[in-house]
Amino acid sequence: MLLQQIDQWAKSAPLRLAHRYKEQVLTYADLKTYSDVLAYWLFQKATRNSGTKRPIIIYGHKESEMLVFFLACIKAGHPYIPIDKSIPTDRILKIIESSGAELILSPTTLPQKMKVKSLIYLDNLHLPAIFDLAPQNAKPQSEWQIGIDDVWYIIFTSGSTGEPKGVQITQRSLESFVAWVNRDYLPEQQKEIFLNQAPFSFDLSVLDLYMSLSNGGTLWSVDQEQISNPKDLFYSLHESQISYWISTPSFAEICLMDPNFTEELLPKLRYFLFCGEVLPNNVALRLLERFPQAKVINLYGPTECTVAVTGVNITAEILKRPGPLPVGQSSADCQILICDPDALDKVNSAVSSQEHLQSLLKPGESGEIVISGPNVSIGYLNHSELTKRVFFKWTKNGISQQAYRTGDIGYWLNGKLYYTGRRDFQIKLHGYRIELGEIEEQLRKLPEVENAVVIPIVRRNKNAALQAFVKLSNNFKGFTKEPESIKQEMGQQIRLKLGQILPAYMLPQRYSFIESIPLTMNGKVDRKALQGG
Amino acid sequence: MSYQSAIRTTILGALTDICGTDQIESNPNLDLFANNLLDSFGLVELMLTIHEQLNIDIAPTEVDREMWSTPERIIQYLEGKMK
Repeated sequence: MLLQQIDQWAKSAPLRLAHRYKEQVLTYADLKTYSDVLAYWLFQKATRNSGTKRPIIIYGHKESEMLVFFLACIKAGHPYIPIDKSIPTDRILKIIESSGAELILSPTTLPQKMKVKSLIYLDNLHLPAIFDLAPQNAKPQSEWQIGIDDVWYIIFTSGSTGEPKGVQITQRSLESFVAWVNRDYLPEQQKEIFLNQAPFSFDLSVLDLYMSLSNGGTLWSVDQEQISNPKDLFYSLHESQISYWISTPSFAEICLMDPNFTEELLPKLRYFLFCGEVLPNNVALRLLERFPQAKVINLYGPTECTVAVTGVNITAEILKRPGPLPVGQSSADCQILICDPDALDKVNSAVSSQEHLQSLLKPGESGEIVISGPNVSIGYLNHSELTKRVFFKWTKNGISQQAYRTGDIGYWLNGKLYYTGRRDFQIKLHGYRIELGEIEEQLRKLPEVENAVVIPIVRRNKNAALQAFVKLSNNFKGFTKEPESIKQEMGQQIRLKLGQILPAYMLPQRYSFIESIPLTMNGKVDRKALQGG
Repeated sequence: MSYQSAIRTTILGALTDICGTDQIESNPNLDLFANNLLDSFGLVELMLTIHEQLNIDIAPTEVDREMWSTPERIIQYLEGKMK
């Protein structure tokens, strides 16, 4: 049991650091004591009052309190929704509404708009102040905590319909994931230090957080301010002595720009674990050259399948082969299947094993990646229709398991899994998963916009930014003939408005104004024409 | 072309492309960070362009973030580095 695994470090290694963020430190003893007391309060205040175990929103950035709040929720029997403070308030309000959350905990000041009357909120809640909520020796009862098939956390991702959707991950899925990474990437108990680069609202952080806590490791957080100031970042990295580097490849690419990013900076580093986007060949090559003592692991999996379901050790031998790097190999716990997406479309709502099996493709054939097994989410929170579209039961040899259609296109070759792209308009930008349809939908909601198409700007063979093609409403007839400065001003205004609802990484950088949206012969948006192709 | 004008042309051109605005050319003192025109990833692209087109290497830790804040500051830093 993951929670017991974490709590036991408070006895066997009470003074070991569970978390370090700038000058803030949190020991395992503190993590247990504070989360116990807060769980006791949560149960009295939230669970007992409402009689339900609705999600609790944890709002902040990298503060040590975040870890305490996460565990307190679990101990009191509530799933938590991590929300980074960089996310715009209007988007958070939508998440609050759609999730049915009843309580917000935050170590920082909440934006005024988030202080909704129907919610209980505790902001600026720092560790010592938790003892003001309940007696210091208060202990949650074991029967309060979430059960094996209850939801542990909910992470909101971009949704093509214009609204974010909450992916529910149960304790069973999380424990299956943590057991796998611990088994395959061999952390030593009470010895390791794990880099935490991703915000807690990005599921990549689940890997570093729970891999670290389950092994009595120290989670070393760097924040956005440090990341955007390389001098501070490298100072922190050198001080950290991390042994597990967990990040998007884009973040490592930034660090590789500096010649000081070598094993001298991080002499204890043993593993690079990458997830969230395609790992470029040249990034892996440079890392192996500069860190000959470390392994480079390329992981693959969507948020809907608990961070990742497979990984592959990128060796010098693999790098010699032309083409993209593999993203995985056979998984012990989950099945990774390549299916004909058109055949799947026809049988998706059915549960007939035969029909699903008929969609299976042979090794080497390219198709949609389908994942089945214990890591697969139970579905999207309060979105049964959306859930039915992509989640289903895969039945083989009489055993039925939860399965998820990833929308990713890939193939198996010589025992390795390769990813080649998407079926739809979902993209990855600097590790962030973005549904272009969500941005387009938000653009269309602006009164000055009639229609919009968003496409990625590709530089150096990877997505570098976003460009919006906007058809303004009839009130702006002839706008495309206006001087460039007026168009730029309009672009800035639109960006500002979008910034109130979408996170910064989803904001198009460029705005082009067009008279009409080009269409293909089939009547679909001609994205190639917009890309100038 | 002198190295000064090569630096100016390259930086203004690269920033116009990366930031997606013609304001770079008309206002070289524009604050790139305050106006959300440049982030860590854009900075990496700029450094790669400087390396490829001007053959100048800059380590991210070599200078403070402030140096990257306007097109003019970047140009002046590179000109100083080439002297």
